[in-house]
Amino acid sequence: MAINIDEKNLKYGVLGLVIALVEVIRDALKIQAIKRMESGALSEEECERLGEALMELDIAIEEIKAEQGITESVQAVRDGLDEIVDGVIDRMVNPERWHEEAKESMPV
Amino acid sequence: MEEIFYTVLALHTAGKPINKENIQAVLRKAGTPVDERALDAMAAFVESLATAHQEKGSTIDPRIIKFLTSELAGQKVPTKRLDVLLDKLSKAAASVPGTQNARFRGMTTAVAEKARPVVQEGRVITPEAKAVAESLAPKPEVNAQGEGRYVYGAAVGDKEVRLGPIGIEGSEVYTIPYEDISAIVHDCSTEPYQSTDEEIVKSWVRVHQSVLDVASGQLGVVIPLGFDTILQPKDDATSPDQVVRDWLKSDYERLREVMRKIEGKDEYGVQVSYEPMLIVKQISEHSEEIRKIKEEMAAKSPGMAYMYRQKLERVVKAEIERLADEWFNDFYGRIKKHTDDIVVEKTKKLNISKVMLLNLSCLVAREKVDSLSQELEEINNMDGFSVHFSGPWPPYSFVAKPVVTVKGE
Repeated sequence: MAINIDEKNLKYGVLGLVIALVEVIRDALKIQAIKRMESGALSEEECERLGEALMELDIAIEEIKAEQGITESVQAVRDGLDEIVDGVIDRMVNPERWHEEAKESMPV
Repeated sequence: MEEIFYTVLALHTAGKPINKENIQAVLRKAGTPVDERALDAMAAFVESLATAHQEKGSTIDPRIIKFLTSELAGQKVPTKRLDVLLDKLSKAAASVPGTQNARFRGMTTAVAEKARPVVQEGRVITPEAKAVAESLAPKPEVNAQGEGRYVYGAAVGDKEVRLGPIGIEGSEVYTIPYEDISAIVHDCSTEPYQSTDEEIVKSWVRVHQSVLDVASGQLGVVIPLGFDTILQPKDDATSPDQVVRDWLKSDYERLREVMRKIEGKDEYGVQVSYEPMLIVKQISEHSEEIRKIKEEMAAKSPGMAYMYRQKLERVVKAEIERLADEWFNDFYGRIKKHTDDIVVEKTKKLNISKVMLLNLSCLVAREKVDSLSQELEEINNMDGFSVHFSGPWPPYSFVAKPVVTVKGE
């Protein structure tokens, strides 16, 4: 993915990218947390602490986004990532298309 | 200095890119001594113009127009010499390689318009300057005419039909027949139409579309080709017309088959979207699992309640995905009944309040359009769903790519 950076949008670009990555990591943490909670491996108290920590992380991220005015650029990075992942998965699950694509890109 | 200025005009008139190399080449060809300092200044100036233009869209820095205008008016060039010079430079510019640069067209037209009042005051170089100003107006590309054929599509018909000057940039559109099919073309250079200005490209595509409309009105079944399909001879021995006939000949069977397939049918775009907010509300009301989680949540401490909320979100998301699959199959089946062929396109991101569920290109027989739109009306009336129905289009999605070498691909 190409990242367009000029002096004017440097802040939005880099900060947006960083926060987008933090969000992705947070989402992964959440999934793990829910899995552990459901598996019964965590005590009530541990669940409570985990939940509070994640909640605080959520609030902090939202605050930073609002303060810096980067909500949109974070969303843009995440949309871009989603698109790339969609594309990769689409290719992986449809191997029959590889043949067609190879044929199309061949000189006629 | 004035040589350089007129070289820029000459380059523009000839439709060549205006840059340092080309200015230098023209001056050298015309046998004019090159003033390096002035050349550098002009090149830098033209470049800054290009950046300014790109950044601000279509507006041109008024200072630049003012400068060029005063240059044009202030040059006390003897008229004879100017004539000779311009003639020489124009000839030299025509031989410089390069493409039409649409970016500069707007600029010089603006200059020409600004220059005209100055000219009418008749102070310095009246008739000649007028000629210069008039030569600045955009002209259809004539210098490279006849080398290639821009192909709009293929149609039934064994006669050459002239459709008039309805093509891109006013080109004369006509057909080149081979046996009982023919290609809809106009004469063009082998350079593909391209521009950095989105509006210009849009207007070209609209003309492409309107030519296909006119053609299908006059000729019947028309196989549309994509914008910017240009056929050109591989060598000097073959004429461009021959290349088009060769294409029709080599692709004849397939073209006839596609024509049989699309006869009496049009393409329609169908997009079905849902409103996630509304759907979430419906799900929360109906799902037993969600109701249970909500109940448990109410009694928990903040941290636990947060965890339950996350769990809830995941359950809702999974439920929407399951439902989306169901809807997709349901709608696809209902729409397919009314079509002769269907292509599933990629869904697009809309906005937060709407998610595109399915995006279809449908080949629909004319007599089935009403029943299809009735079916879509029913879907549209369902709570939380909306349908976007567009067409009729030429059946772009149902004609495979032509087997030709297309420049620019």
